[in-house]
Amino acid sequence: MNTKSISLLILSFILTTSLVLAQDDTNASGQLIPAGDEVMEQFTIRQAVSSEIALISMVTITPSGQQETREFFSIYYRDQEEISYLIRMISPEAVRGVSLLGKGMDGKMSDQFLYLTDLGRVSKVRDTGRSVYFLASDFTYEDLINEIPDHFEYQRLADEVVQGVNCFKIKATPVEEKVKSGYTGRMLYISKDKDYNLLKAEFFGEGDKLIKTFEAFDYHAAGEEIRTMRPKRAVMVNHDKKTKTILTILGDRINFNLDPAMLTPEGIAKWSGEQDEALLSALKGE
Amino acid sequence: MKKLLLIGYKKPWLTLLSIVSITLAALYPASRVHFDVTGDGLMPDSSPELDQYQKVRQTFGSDEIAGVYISDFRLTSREKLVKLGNLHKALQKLSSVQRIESLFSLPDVKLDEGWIDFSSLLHPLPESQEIINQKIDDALTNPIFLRNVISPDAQATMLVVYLEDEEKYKESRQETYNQIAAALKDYEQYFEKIYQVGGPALEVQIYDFIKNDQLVILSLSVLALFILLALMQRSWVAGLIPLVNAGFATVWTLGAMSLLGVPVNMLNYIFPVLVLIIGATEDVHLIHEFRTQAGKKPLDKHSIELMKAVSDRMMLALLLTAITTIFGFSATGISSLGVLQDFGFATSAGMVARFVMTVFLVPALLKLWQPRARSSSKSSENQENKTKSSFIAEWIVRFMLPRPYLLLLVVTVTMISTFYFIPKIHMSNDLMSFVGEDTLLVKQVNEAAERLSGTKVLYLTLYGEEGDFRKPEELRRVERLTEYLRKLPEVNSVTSFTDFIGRTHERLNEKPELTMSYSRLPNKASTLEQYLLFFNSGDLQRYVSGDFSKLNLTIRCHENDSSRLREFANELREVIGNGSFGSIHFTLTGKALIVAEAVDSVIWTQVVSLGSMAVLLFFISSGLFLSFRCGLSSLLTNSVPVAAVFGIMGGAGIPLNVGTCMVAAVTLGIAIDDTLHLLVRFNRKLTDLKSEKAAVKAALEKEMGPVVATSIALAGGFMVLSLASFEPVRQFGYLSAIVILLALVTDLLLTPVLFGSMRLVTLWDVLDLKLRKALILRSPFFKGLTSWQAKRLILVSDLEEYKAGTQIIKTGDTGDKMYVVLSGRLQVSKPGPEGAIRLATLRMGDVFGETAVIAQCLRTADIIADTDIRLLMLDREALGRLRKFSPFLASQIFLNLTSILGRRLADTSERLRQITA
Repeated sequence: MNTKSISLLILSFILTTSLVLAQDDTNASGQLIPAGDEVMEQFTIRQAVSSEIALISMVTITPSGQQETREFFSIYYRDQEEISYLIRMISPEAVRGVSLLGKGMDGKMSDQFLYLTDLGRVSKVRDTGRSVYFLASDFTYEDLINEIPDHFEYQRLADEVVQGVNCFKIKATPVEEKVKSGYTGRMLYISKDKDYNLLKAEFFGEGDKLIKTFEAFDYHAAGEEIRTMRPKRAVMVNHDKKTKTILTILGDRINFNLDPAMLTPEGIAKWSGEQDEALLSALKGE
Repeated sequence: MKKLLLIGYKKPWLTLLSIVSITLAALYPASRVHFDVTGDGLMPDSSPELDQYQKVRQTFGSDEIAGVYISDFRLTSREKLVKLGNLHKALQKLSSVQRIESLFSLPDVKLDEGWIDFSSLLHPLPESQEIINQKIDDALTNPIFLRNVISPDAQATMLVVYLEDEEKYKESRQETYNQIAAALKDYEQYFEKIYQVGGPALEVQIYDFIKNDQLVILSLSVLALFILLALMQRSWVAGLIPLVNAGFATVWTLGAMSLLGVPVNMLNYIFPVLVLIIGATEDVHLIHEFRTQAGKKPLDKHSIELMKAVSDRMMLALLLTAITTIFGFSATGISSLGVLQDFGFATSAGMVARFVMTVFLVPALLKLWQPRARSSSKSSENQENKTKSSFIAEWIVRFMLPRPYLLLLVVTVTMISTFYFIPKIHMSNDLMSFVGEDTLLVKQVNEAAERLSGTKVLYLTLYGEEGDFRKPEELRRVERLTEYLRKLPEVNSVTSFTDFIGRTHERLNEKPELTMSYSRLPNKASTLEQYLLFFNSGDLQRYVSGDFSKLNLTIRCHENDSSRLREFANELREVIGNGSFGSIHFTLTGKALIVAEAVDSVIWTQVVSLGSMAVLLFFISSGLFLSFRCGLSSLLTNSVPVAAVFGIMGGAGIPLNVGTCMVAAVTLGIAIDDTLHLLVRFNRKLTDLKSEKAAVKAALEKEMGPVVATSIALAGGFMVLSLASFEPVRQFGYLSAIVILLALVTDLLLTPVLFGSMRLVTLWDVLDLKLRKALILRSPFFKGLTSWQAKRLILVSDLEEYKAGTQIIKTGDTGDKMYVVLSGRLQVSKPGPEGAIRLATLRMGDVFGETAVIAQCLRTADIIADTDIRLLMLDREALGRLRKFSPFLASQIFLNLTSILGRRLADTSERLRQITA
């Protein structure tokens, strides 16, 4: 797997791998090292896990300040070259079972499938609609798919301090011929420590107008065997729509065994309450 | 007060320096005065409706919107849509643009051969024209798109541009307009029509109007006034002084407006013209009087005595004129509409500044300028004018005075016609109609409204408990209401939260028919909840509150007639309120509706301003001439033209709006000045000539010229305003001109008839009269009267002065006059065989001749002035007048007379008793 998308922000709670100490300096020609794509490569390396599950509480805040809370499972699973991820709503009851499944291979765009329980069928999500918002949140479908490094140019800019931490500042620009992105660019702020934590991301639209700002807080070690850092809390502020989404991890676990059949279009349609309970137990370590 | 005029005259350089210094200090704030071109001033500054509207905006988001209208025969061709998409992107880049609703951005969930597509209708734009056509057909059945962003014939579209509502952007809407205009410029070649409508375009239009009007109207007024005054006064300096004064007053006023946060708006921007025109008349009077006094021999034209003489004659008139004019303008500000409050402030402050200039600067300039004295010898022109005035005055006195009922008949007929038409006056408070149907912007707005939706946006907000509007049964009710609204002829489009849910349900369930006649909503609450996952709450903000307790229907209609819009809103309220759609708690609001419903404020402004003005004028006239009858008569004289203008408005279909509602108060305040001038002159002439008819004729001869000249000048000045760009300003201009001209006619015809039989006493006559206290204490005639009453009595009577030796009464003559000795001494005697037998000596306070007034009998003694004397003379006519106009005073006088006669009778009886004894 190559780098994960910055937009894997939901999943970035549950992704990360090993330690690499970052060094930066300028080379003989005065260019910053490591360069943007090298930083992103290191960032990706730290995210590499075979599977990951998290129970996330999502609070959406409307422009006039009202809040609505929903909870969902976020599951990531890697089987050889194939990657699957799933978002499955578990509350409120009316939306329980609504699922979005992503399937993809390294270096290729994911397919997405949507299951609405009341319609009783799984529909494939058209690629063209991925820049619209999902889950009534400030995350788009595009935010959930794998980021293919080949589709972006990464440029390292002067470092900045975010949340008191010195960060690499990486500008990610989509290559127009290869990808249709809803953003004209993103600015990623990745900590310059050994963890390469994504602390902040800014999303830009037409005219380089700032559309959204993402910030992740309270990183902690999620893995047991290797050091994998995950935030406890993250906030996406939508400047365009004046809304906000707050994500809080209620529980997470990495590198555990999962039946791949669950992460198929058929699997999400047949998903039962018992399976939810099993996942909850798994999260509790039972 | 009279000394005020002397200050500038005594210290001209210091006065000039002070005024220039203040002006320079005011220049900076004046240059930063804020322009309010939003039209928000047409809404009441506080009202329950406005509060409701603010709450709706707070819940459902700002409605700061700019629109870009595009039409083209081949609009839906891929080639054109590519350009349109690029334009969408270009506009989205603008810093002041928050988001854009268009064919490229509105949500459009659909299921297509097993694929679910969340993309906007045309974003990304399909490669195939066939698919584009299918999507366009789809949009034409989608109420979220139809008439909101695409016309039914798919040849016109609107990019609805939501603007950032932060203050820094609000303050630069013109910049926003320019940015959008620059973006549109690159696309003009690709479309048949492309232009901006909406807030910024309107604001720019209003700003341009204000700017252009200042250039045209103000320049024209300055030029015309300068030429007129220079020619009239035969001096370019005399023509220049009012312009300089108006310039200073304007800067002061702008400075004050800036410091107090009063903006220049679509009404008060004419204040410099008003200050110039109305203020000029006072300057002219002052300069004219100065030159006239300078022409009189005893006065040295450079001496302070000259200005004192001018002050004696002018200061009160100047003050009264200023008070009535300032009050007239400030009365228009007694309104809940910001636009009128700002007008009231700007114009009244302008008039105050103007008064200061007239009182201080004009004398200073006169001292420095030292104009030519006006020759007292009559030029042939003066003679000619005098002849014309005499002819008209003669005609009025000969023809009109004896026939008051004829005039009364004419006035009655006029008033009846007026009152027939007054109820036909309709109300209007609509910004677009103020801008004018002929302007390009309004034509463009109308075109866009015809093909898409009107600019009048109403918000029908439904209220329930938290979560109510995520229940299918509640939404089904809303859907029924929405469908009902869509069928109303006044309504162009309705957008509702149910459209988003209904459309999603329809599409995901692959309904074959694209019809709006059946319920498109899901039956299950859970299905609805699942659809809600497709929408960011920001997308739904305009339609449903975050807690689903409030739901907002956006109704677009095209109705520029505010009365009709109001009626429509009331009908709607009635239908929804009568339970046709179940028990619904709702409000109907919107900027356009609040503005339309503010006609009540316009009417209230009309009533309050006119009423308060009438009361003020009544008290000024009554107080000035110490007579309520006089107050009523002067009010009547000036009310007739005002009422007539209301009739004209009703007959000619001129609406009552923010402009026309000011006409009555403003013109009443100005027109009354001529009446007061006439009355004061009449009063003076009456004192001199002792005959009402002669006094009327003389007063008319003297005042007709200035009254006619100022009236015509004022009417001309107001007529200049009819060149303004804004309809209410134009109407204000020509209607005011009509009132001024009609007031001229009533002043010349009605005033003499009403006042010809009155003996007027002015307040200052009474104040100026030096009356010895001993006279009142000593004289039985003044017994029981206060000093004030005694003075009034003296002033309504005739004062006669005689030299020593003059015989006042001769024995045997028939007399009908009585006298009170005010000063001097007289001898009473009877002719005897050996000469006159001295009977008594009369001194101050003594009364004689009283029996003749009562009984018209023969005089029984001779009375000759022993010294130079002053007598108060009363005859039966004077007593009759007193009884008629001052009954309380008359009753005391009659009591005193009875007492005097009783005393005489008692004395006579005593003498008879002594003789017979």
